[in-house]
Amino acid sequence: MKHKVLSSTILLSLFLLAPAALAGVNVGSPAPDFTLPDVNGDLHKLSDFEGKVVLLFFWQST
Amino acid sequence: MINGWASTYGDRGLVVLGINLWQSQSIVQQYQNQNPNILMLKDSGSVWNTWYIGGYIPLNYIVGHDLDQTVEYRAEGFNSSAILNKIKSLLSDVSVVLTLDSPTFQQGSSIGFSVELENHATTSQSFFAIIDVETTTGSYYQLYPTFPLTLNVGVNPTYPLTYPLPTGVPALGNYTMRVRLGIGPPAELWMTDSEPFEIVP
Repeated sequence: MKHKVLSSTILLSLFLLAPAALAGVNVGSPAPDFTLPDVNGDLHKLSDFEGKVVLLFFWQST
Repeated sequence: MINGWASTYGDRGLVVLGINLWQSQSIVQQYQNQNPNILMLKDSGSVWNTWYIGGYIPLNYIVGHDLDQTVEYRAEGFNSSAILNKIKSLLSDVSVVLTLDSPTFQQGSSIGFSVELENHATTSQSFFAIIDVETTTGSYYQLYPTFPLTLNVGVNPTYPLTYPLPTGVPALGNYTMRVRLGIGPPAELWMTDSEPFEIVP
């Protein structure tokens, strides 16, 4: 898998509705930790990835 | 695209988490199967509501690589070039891959492992390295003193290492070994890698 570029198969349909106001987590602020399950039910914390560059990609299918 | 990024830059410290508002187990599983380099997580709404901007906008956040996990970027929608440029600017010039010889080690034996380093920069890189273990109690035990390293351009060494375990120590259970690289004194963390293992009788 190392240095192997896979063709993109990600096709996501995203809800893109106009925001009423900016909120959420600000750039420059510490990221709030969270714990979420994967598809197998195993739990993962954001803080598990300390030392990594983490891209959080929020998505929802239509 | 994102799956390719995760594959290409994973060794340099990029992790992609796909967070889905949990609407369908089968859909999340389908995307996981199609994008094996992305860790798909399912959110019942709490994380989504904390991180969103406004109503129903799916967002893209990049969390920085330092110890405090600072939010470095956020955007509505998806701008691939902007996100990739930001990711590249944050990636470490030196990567580390920790590999354990086994997922289990017997009490009183030795822990065998290897540490692979690679300099991706166009100049030599100097940094410190720390190898420690998270114990069964959650505390950390440093296996070796913090040591400085310099990697010349294009150098990609692998260090096979062995750490002897005293008889009866440590306790049986689950541990995690980690390697941390950074600029000394350890004010800025560059890169880490970790692997779990178990001490058995």
